[in-house]
Amino acid sequence: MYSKELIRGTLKTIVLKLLSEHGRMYGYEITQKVKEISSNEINLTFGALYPTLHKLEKEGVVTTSSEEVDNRTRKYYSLTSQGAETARLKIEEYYQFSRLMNLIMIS
Amino acid sequence: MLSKGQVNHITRIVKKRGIKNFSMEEELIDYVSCEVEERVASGEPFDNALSEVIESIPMGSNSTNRELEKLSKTSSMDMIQSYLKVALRNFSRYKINSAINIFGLTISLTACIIIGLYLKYEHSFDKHYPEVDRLYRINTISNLGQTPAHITSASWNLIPAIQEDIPEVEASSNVTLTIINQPLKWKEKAFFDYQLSGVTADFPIMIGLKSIMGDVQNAFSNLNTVILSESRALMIFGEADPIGESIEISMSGKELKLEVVGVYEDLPTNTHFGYGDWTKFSLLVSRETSLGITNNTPSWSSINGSSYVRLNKGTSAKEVAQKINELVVRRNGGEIWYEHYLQPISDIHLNKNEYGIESKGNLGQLRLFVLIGIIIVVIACINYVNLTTAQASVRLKEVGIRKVIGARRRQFIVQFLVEATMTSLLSMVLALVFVLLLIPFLNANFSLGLSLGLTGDFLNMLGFLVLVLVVSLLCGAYPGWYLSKIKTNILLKTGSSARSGGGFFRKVLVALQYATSITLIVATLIITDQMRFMSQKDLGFNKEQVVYIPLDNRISAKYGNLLYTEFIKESGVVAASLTGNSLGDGGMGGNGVLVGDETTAQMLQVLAVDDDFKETLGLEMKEGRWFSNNYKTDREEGFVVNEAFVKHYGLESPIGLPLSRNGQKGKILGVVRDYHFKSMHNEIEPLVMHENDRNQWGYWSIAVRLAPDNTSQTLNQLEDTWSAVVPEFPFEYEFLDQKIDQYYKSDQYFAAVFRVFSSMAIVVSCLGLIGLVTFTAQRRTKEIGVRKVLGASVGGILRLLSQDYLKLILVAAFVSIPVAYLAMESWLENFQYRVGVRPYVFVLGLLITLLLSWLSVGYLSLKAAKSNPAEALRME
Repeated sequence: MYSKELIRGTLKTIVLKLLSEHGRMYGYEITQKVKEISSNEINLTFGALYPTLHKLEKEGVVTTSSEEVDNRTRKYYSLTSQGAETARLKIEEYYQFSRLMNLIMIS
Repeated sequence: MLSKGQVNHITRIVKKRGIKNFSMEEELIDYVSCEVEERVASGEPFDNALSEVIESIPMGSNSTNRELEKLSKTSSMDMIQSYLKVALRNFSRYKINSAINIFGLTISLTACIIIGLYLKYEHSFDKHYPEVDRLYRINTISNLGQTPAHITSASWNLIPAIQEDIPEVEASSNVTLTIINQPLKWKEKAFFDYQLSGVTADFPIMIGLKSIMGDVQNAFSNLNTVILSESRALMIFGEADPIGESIEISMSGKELKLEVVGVYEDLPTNTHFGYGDWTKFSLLVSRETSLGITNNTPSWSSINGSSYVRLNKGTSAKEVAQKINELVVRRNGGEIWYEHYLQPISDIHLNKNEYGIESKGNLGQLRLFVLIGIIIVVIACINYVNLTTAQASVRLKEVGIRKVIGARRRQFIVQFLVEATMTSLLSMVLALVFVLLLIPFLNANFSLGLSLGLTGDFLNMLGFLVLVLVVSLLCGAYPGWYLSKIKTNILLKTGSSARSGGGFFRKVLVALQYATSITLIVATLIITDQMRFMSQKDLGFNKEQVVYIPLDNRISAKYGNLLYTEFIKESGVVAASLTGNSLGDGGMGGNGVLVGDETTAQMLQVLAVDDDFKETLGLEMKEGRWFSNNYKTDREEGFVVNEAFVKHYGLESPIGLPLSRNGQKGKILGVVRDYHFKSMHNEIEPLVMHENDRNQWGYWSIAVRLAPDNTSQTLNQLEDTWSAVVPEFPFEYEFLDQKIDQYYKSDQYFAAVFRVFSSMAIVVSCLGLIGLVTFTAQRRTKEIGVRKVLGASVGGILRLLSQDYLKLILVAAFVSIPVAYLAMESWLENFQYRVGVRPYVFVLGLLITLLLSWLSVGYLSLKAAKSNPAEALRME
């Protein structure tokens, strides 16, 4: 498990990246996907993920739609057109940042 | 996959853990279900999996939860934005109503602010001196006469005695008027319109006069020095430096030379010194100098001039007054005819403690104005509430849909409050602009010193803000409360928009509005009635075409008789008489009078007259005769009294009764019909008229009756005559009718102001009515169309539209008539001579109300009634 700080700082980027690749996803799906990709190393909690999602919705980056699935309501998140652009920028920014971080770490 | 029952179980658990937001709750259920599903799929039993999952998710009152809740709520900024948006939409959708609301509120707030500022101004009098809470004026109660009279002066001897004997008094000064309007010369220029007073060295310190030039605080170390106010200095010396200059005043044949040693900042208008025209009261000399000017020697038994004291900290005014009284008796060497008491200086203007002295401010009138201010605001708020609830019957759908979507009751109330606040804020801004424009006009016409104090006066701003809040609450709370109360299904039922919202309550409010309007109209009528009554009532003398020419005390004895005999020679003069006080002065001097064989003198009012006074003023004899030249003893032994005198003493046959006035013995020659020698606020009191030696001191003026035509030419001739006899004195005259009108100036101001405010209130009411009728006509368009198709006449429809209001007006009349009657009865009690409340004013008030309401709604009703039914029915 990685420290909360590291995850918190990159959570938005993670969500945007996943949504830009998979189109629409629901909250649990996102946590599972992250778990899967990181080989169980990164585990997003309910308490960390949902505030981020709601924040993104408020900012107009993502939009939601609800569906009736298996006797319950499921809320799907997907990028808005503005969100796609935000995602691109965020991912780009992350790459640059990590490159710089690497430079600092190996110097 | 979980069964429906399992999901329900999860739902219950999540709900019990309490995340209040709906969408968050759903997501949590889904999340938990997914996790449980996975665990069940890998073989765990459901219950086990569920409790583990719930355990792993932090719920309850920790920080995550709070963050979630915060996020899930729509932020208050968003809500305010939405409130404002809806409010603006409503403004532009219901333009007429919004305009009426804003206009009405603007008028009423303007009135309210002006009344508030006036109130503040009236309360600000004499509050700005240093240590004002320890500053008192020494007033006097006279024990002469049947009722104790309050006088604002004290003996000239008093202040030095207090300074010697009463250590509790920290500072003290008399303010004794020493010279009025004698020619004051500087270089080649002469000035008249001023008053010069003698004060002690304490005075500038007590009042806090600020030096601008020279030294005001230590001005009186030498004799014959003078200090003057900035504006007075500017008037006399212009741009020149006044310090060290000498001004000359000729007085009693003496040439007085005063050296200017200081100039002080003008006092503000809100001071009782020199009431209304402070600049007149703006030359101050030391007490010693003023004693040197006049020939009067101060005595304990004569009182003249005000006296002020500043007490030590923590000293009781009552005790000091007691000491002063003891001091007066001790110094006088025996009992004296008066007693002193101390009146706080800040109380002089409004006279809140209701001492028996006259005051310029009128607390009763102030209270009435406050009441009117409240009434006007309430009327405007009633308009708002009425229009909003009426309009809301159209808005019911909006309210219904919002409710279905999940708006809470509080949000509705807030929505309506926001709309009300926006309206009242906008109106307040407009009102402030109006007030700003009005203030210069008001200050100039009513000699006030109002100011809005937008910059720097924190209290005023706070007041305006509070006003906006109160108005917003009054306007917005009820509509919001009422509309949100209605059940949603009723709101959404089609056709329910035809129901008017809050019909009965609205009727009550309209009736209330009518009631206040009728009350105000009736009050205005009664006030106008009384004003007319006072200006038309037979005064007992003929005030028209009479001028009074004041005689200076140096002229009166020497030249009075000469001037009089010259005047009666003029062709334009019908009659003239030497006399004492003018009938427009508001009172007469008092003398001790003994009648018949009585032994104790009573202080009664006396007036010095001459042979032709009766003819000049047009007095009528009741019995006996007037003074006559044919009886040589009349001048020394004759008295003429009025009816009130006869009544006062209960005399059966007054003619020939012995009477003595201040030791002058004689008998009563005749009785004149009562005439108003004071204003109608006062009862006609007993009066004794006597003659003086024409060449002695005691005639203060010449009353002249002019022929009705060529008045100005005659006045010119009189002036020429005057200049030929006493060229060094200015010729002054006053028309008696104008002077008498002065008595009623404050009443007339009051009447004018009252009229303006009531018209404002009535206009605002009419506005509301217009809004309501516009709305009713609109809502009933279809009904009117159907009726017309079925054969209703225009008249019938007009009746239909107006009968509701007619009924309300009649109900309102019932309520308002007793209220108006009682209120005006008590107002009329201010006047000793008054019109009764005559019934016709109520009828007239009702008729005016009917007329006004018909005028304001007639056109709209007519338009609705005459409209083409095809148009009305085609809608939809």
